[in-house]
Amino acid sequence: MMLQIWLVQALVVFLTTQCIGELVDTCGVISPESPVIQHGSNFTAFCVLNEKCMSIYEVNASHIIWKANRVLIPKEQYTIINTTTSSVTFTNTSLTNVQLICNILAFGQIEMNIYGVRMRTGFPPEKPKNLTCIVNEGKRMMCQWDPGRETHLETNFTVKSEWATEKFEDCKAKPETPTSCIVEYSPVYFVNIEVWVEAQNALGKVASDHINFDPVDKVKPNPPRNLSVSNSEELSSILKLTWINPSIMNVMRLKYDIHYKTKDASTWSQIPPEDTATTRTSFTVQDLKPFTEYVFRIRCMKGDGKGFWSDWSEDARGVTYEARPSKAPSFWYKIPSHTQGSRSVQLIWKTLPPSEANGKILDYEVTLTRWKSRSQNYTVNDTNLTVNLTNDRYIATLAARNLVGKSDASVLTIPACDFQATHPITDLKAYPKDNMLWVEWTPPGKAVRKYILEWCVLSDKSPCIPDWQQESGIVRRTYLRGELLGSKCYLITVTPVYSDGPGSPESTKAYLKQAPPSKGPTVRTKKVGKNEAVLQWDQLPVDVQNGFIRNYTIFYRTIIGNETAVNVDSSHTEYTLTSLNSDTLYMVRMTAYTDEGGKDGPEFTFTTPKFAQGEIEAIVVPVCLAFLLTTLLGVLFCFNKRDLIKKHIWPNVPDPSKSHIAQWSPHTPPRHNFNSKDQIYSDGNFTDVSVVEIEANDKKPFPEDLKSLDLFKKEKISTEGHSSGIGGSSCMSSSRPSISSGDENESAQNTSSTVQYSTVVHSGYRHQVPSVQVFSRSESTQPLLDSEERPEDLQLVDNVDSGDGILPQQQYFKQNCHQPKTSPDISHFERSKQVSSSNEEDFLRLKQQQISDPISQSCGAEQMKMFQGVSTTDVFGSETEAPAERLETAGMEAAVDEGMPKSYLPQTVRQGGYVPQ
Amino acid sequence: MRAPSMRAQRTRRPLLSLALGLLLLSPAAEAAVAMRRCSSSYTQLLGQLRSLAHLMKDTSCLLEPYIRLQGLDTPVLRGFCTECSGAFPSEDALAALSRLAFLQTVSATLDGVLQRLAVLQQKCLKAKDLPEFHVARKNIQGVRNNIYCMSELLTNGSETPEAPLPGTEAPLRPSAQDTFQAKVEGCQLLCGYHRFMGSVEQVFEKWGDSPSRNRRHSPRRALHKGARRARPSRRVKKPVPRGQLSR
Repeated sequence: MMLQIWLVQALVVFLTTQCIGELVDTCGVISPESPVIQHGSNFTAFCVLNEKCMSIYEVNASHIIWKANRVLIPKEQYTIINTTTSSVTFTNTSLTNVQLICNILAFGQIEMNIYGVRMRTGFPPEKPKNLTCIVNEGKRMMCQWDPGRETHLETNFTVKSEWATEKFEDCKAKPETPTSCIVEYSPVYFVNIEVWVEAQNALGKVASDHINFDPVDKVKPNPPRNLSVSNSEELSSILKLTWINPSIMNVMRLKYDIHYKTKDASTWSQIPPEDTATTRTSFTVQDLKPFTEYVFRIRCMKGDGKGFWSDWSEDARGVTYEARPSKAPSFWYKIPSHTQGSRSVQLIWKTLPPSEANGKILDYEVTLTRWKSRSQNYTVNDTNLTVNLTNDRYIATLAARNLVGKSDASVLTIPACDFQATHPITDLKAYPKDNMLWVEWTPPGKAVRKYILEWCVLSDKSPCIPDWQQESGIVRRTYLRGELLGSKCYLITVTPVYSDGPGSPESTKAYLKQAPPSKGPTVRTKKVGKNEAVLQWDQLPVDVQNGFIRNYTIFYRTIIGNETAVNVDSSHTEYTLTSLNSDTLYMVRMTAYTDEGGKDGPEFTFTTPKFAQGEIEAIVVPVCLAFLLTTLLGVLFCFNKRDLIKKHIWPNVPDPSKSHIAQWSPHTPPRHNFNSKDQIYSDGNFTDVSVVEIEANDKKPFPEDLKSLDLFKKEKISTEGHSSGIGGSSCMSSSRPSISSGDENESAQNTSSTVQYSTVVHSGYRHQVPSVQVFSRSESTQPLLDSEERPEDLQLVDNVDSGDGILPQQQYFKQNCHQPKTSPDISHFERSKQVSSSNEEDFLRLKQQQISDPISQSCGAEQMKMFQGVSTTDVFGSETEAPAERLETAGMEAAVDEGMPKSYLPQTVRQGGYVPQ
Repeated sequence: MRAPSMRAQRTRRPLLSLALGLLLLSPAAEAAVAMRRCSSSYTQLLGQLRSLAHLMKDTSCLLEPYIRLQGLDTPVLRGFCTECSGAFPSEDALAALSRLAFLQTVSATLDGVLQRLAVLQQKCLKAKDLPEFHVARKNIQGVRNNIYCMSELLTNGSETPEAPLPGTEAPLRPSAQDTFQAKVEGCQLLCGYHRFMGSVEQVFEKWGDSPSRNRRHSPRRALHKGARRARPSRRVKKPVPRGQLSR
């Protein structure tokens, strides 16, 4: 049983193994398996098919296809070697990493992968160059080299080293550091060793040049340690350095490189190499400044100069011992207050810089000596001393004292009160250079002991707190040694000091470094005109100027227009913009410029007016004046021509009460002496007016007419004194409204129902003697003033007088009735003739027709009046000879008064009188 | 059929000659290559030998670390240590040798020191690794390398080799079975080594600046007490390059 189980298991294992073997079997292989090709060379790969596969898949070498990185290789690169082998050839291979696959077309059509290889391309290693080795003390030797070009292949670098009698272990460079290697053994000094590098990859192996050296000549020692500095009380100019040499000192001689500098210096000074060329553990540095802190550092190397310098040691510091102050302090004075007989003087001085103090200044010794008096001595720890002095001249001296001794004394003459300072310096200039503010001047002609330079920051916010410095009398140019700030305006004063006292000071302003203003000027308008605007601004405060304001630029524009820039000199505070458009909004801003740039101020807007100042007045006033003048002239003219005007537009209405009819009327009392006009008439001009005949068919009872006449008379009496009489209300209007508007309808009815004729026989109008009697018919509905306004009518009448017969009447019609020029005239004329020979009813119809005719309406009345006049004359010409004679008389009388109208027929003459309508 | 055979014979002869030649010339070629790695400057070589001898005579390089490591840093024990091994040739004996004999004697003596150091390290230091031992061994090898180079240089200068001083190896063999005694013997060995190197330095200091001068350093050969005076007939055994120095 067990045997059976074992056999079954064995069979299963066998079959499985066979199956796997079948599966694992490949149909072919590519040769070479892992090709590495030199870049640019030719390469041929072979694919050899398995016989078994060839029979299974019915393929041979001709069915092989090649692919590189899954891209079909052109068949031109294929070569059929035999039935089982096909090759592919790559020329000038440049691809770096290619997957090459051999495929077959099974059964002539199914593509199957047979085998694949990875093809690498690269370069053989170049010969390593510049091989150098260094032996860091206490460490192992490290060699470096230049590997040459990139090979694109895994390249190993091996450092090989040998003695003449021994070979050392190879040093294989790590992939991450293929250009250096640290050997595993400790170097043996004083034994020459030969070293070289071998570079190797799949395409080749190459060795560098061999270098042969003694490792001790390649040593980089450790730096000297424990460097210390000590000074000497005897000599303030030396410092002694001591250190511990590196242990390599036991192997070789050393030389040193010692550097030193003062504490604040940036550059190092070097001890001469020849002084430090031997192995030592100390060195004394000389010619140093007293009481000055120095910094030292040291390094070493093999004494013969072979090998490498060690790293620098750590810095060591030391201070030289003190010495007597080498210079006298700067010394100056101020007089804060001055009273009668005495003055308070503040003596001020500067602390000596360390380079001159040569130690710690313990105190200052001040002496004050008045002329022929004992000296007063003061010992001061501070840098100022305030003393009360008389107004006399004093000599002050100052000396600084340190541990070792006193400085020379500074001497200062404090002149008497009545001293007059003279001899100022000239050509004082201040300018920045190399980040310092330099001051330059021309010395005065007198010998100067020293110069005092004072400066302070000009500010609107803080007072000027001066700083100062002293320069010797031979100095012509110096820089301010204070802590100056950029963008601050400094007021610099230079005072020459003579043996007898200070000279006159000179001042100037300067900036250490200018900057654009921190604020721009604020512009405003001083005056805005139609085409110009006067801009005004204030000078920038000195705190925001940040430099000298060189100029201003004014930018202005309209909303849609381009911006215009105008440069203005910095001394100006006003500028007038011209050529502006009227009634336009302008935006203006201003930029102030220093040497370093500008800063815009806020934008300001203004609008130009539509009219210039006074322009309205210039228009209105002349117009008004012209109007007034015209009016005045018109009034004057009217006044001068009032008679003429009155004649034309406001004819003198005959006062019926003054007419002869009125006089004649039994109801009317004589009024010649009552009315002023009557007086005119009574001058004898208006001697006789006769109303010859009035015929009317008025059916109104007579007594009513008389009543109305009485009322009218009364009205006239009440309006006595008005030259206009009845028609005084208007020259153009009818007189009727002035009588009674309530009677109008009634009067019209009366008129319409009654044709009233009056024959006014007068003696002519205005010295004109009518030749023909004029009979006028008065209608109550048409004011006769229409005819009175037209002097032509009168002229026509005059023309009639001249014997032209009927023709002037026709002309008259033509002048006043333009529209119906031909036939209407004729028809009117003929019709008027018919009317003249027909009865009154016919005439009324004609009148109604004229009213209904809008074109001829205006002239209808004229026609009618004239027609009435002519027809009446024609009709009554023969029958009124006697009255005509009286009319001639009356016309002559009427002609005396030129202002009288030729006719006025507002009355209806009835039997025994007339009734005004 | 003869022709091909003849051609084969003709081609085989040069190849054989070349192979034999290479075989015979191989030591000479190797020696030439080895010499190429030596400094060709006598002065430099002499300076290196002096410097090495100076370096190696310093007890702080080996003896002192050994004393501290072995716990022998007491005055009494230091007294034992300062009784240096007398197995090393004295300075006078060395000075009496010719240059080549001197070089050979030094080389042979240092070879013995190397062996003793190996035994000493194995016996006394055991697992402790004293870096100075490693440095000392490398220095000794370096001296032997330079001696080889100097010998080659002097040989080429036709200086006649002389037999080295015999009997230097026997006293250097470790003999003590007791551990403390072994330590003390080791201490004395190192002391003798440093003193020997001081003697070597002194001898080298007396060497002139020219390699061509053939002189004996001192006529007083008999002054050498610790070493048997012998004059072997064989030549100075040259150091074999590439670590094949005789041991």
